[in-house]
Amino acid sequence: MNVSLRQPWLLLALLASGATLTARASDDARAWLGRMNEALTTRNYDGVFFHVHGGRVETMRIIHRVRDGSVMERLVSLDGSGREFVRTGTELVCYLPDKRTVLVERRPQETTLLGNLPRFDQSTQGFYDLKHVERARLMGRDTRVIAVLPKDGFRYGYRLWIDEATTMPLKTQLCDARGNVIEQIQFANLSLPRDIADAEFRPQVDTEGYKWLRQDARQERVAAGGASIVWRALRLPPGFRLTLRAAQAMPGSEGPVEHLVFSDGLASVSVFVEMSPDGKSPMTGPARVGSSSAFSTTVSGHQVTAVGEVPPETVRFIANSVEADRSGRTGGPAAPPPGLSLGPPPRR
Amino acid sequence: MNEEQRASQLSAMFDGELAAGECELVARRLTRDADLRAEWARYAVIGAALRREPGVRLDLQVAGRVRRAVSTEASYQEADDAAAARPAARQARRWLRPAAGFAAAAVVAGVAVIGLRGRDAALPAAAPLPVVASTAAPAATAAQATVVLGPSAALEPESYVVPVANEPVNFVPPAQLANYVVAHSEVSMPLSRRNLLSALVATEQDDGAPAVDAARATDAVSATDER
Repeated sequence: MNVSLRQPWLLLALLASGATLTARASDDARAWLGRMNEALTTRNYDGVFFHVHGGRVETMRIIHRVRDGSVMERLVSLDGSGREFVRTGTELVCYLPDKRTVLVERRPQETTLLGNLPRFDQSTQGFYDLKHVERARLMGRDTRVIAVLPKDGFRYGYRLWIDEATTMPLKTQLCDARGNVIEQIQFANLSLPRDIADAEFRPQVDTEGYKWLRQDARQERVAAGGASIVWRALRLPPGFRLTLRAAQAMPGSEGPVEHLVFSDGLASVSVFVEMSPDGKSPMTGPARVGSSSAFSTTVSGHQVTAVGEVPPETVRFIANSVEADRSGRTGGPAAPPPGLSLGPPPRR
Repeated sequence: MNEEQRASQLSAMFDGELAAGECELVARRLTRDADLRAEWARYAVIGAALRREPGVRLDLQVAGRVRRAVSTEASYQEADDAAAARPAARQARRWLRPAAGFAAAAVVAGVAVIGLRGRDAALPAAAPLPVVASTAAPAATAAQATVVLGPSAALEPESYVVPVANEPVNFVPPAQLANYVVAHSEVSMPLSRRNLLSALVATEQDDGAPAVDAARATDAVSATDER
C-alpha cells in the first residue's frame, strides 16, 4: 500500500483510530450492559414475553416494582404449568400447581447480596469480546444491539436488544461459544408504569390443600451459626473467582447449606455443600434446568452441587475441584491443569 | 365479548399493543378455547406471510414440543375449518404492520402448523405464505413440526442460529435442585436471574425426561413430603 509506505504516520493514525473505535465500542457496550441491568432491577415494568428453549415456547408475564427501596416481582407462566413466582422483599414464594406445592425461599438480607452481584470490570473483559453491533428496530422501537461473545468454552455469551429510551432488554439471546442460541426471551409487550398496584402481585393459584415448604426460624439461626468445615475450590476455570461465601438454611435441606459463589464478572456459578442425605441416594452427575447446568458429586460425606448459567463443563470442573479445607486456609484458586482445553470451536 | 372484539384483541396482542393484563387473560383463554386458538393460528400464518418473516422457518425433524406448549387437546381440524369460513382479508390488514418479532413469530408459526394439520396446501388464497409454506411441505404433519428461530439476515451478521432442541430438554428438576437454582438466581446478574426463574417456571413434568431423572425427581418430591 503506497500510502502507508510514504506516509507511515497516516497508517499509524488509522490504526490508532481503529483501536480507539474498538475500545470505544466496547466501553459503550459495557455502559449499555450496566444500564440494562440497572433498569431490570430498579424500574417498574409489566410485560408478556416468550421464553424459547429446547424447541419449546412458553408465554410468561413478568411484573416488577420497586417502591421505597423494596422490590416486588411476579413471574407467571401463562400457558404451561401455571407456575408462579412471587418475590416480596427478601422472600421468594414459588407456587407449583403441578406439584400442589408452595416453596418459600428466604434471603437473609437483601442488601448484602445486591452488593455482591457480578460486575463487568476490566478483568471480565479478558474473557469476553464485547461488541456494539448496530442499532435496530424491534417492536417498533429503537434498540441497541449488544453482543457479548465468550472467548472460551467455559462461559456463554449474550446478544441483547436494548431499548434506547428505557434501557430495558426487549429481546435477549443466550449463546454458546459457537454462536448457537440456547435460549431466547422476547417481549410481546412491555409497559413501564409509574406505579403498579399491589393486586397485580397476587398469585392466581388457589393453594387450598397445597403443601407449604419453608425453612423455620430455628433453621435460619443454625445456618447463621455457620458450618464447621470450610469448603474451597482447589482450581477454577480461568477468570472465575470466589465472590461470596454464606451458610444458609434452605427449604427441604436438613442442616445448613454452605453456599459459595464464583464469578467471572458476568457469569456466576453457585456451589452448594450439605451433608449427604440419610437413607436417600444423593444427586450425582450432570443435570439441566433450562439453560443452566448443574453437576453433583460427593466429597467427604457431603453432597456438592455446582449450578450456573454456564456450559456443563464449567459446573463439572468446579464441582470436582471442591474440597474441605482442613488447614483453615481459603487460598486463591489456581489455573486449570494444562491438559484441559476448552477453547472455542471454530466459528462457522 | 363478541367475536369481532375478541378478534381485534387477539391481533392487538400480536401487534404488541395489548396491555399486559389483557394479554394474560387472552393467553389463558387461548388454552381453553379451541376456536380462539384456530383464530390465532390463522392470524399467525397470515402475519408471517405478509411480513415475509425471514427468521421463521419450520424444522420438521424436531419433535412437536411447541404443540404441547400451546395445549392441543381440541381438534384443530374442526376449528380450522370453522375459521376458514370467516373473511381473512380483514384480519390480514392488521398484519401489514410490523409485529412483535421473532419469538412472536415462532409461537405464531408453531400454532400455525398445528392449525394447519391435514390441510397444509389449503391455505387462504390471500396469504401466499412464502416462508412458512415453502418449508412446511405437505409432508409435514403437525406431530412432527416445530419451530426454529432463525436470524434475520439484516440484523444478524454472525451465525446465530436457533434455540436448538439438540439436547435433552429440561426435565423436572428434583426439588432440591430447584431450590438450588432459586438460591443461585439471587446471586446472578439480573438478566440471568430472570432467565433462571423463567426456566423453572417453564419446566414441565411430562417432557420425555430420562427415566432415571424422573425417578430421582419423584424420590425428591416424596422425600420433601415427609417433612
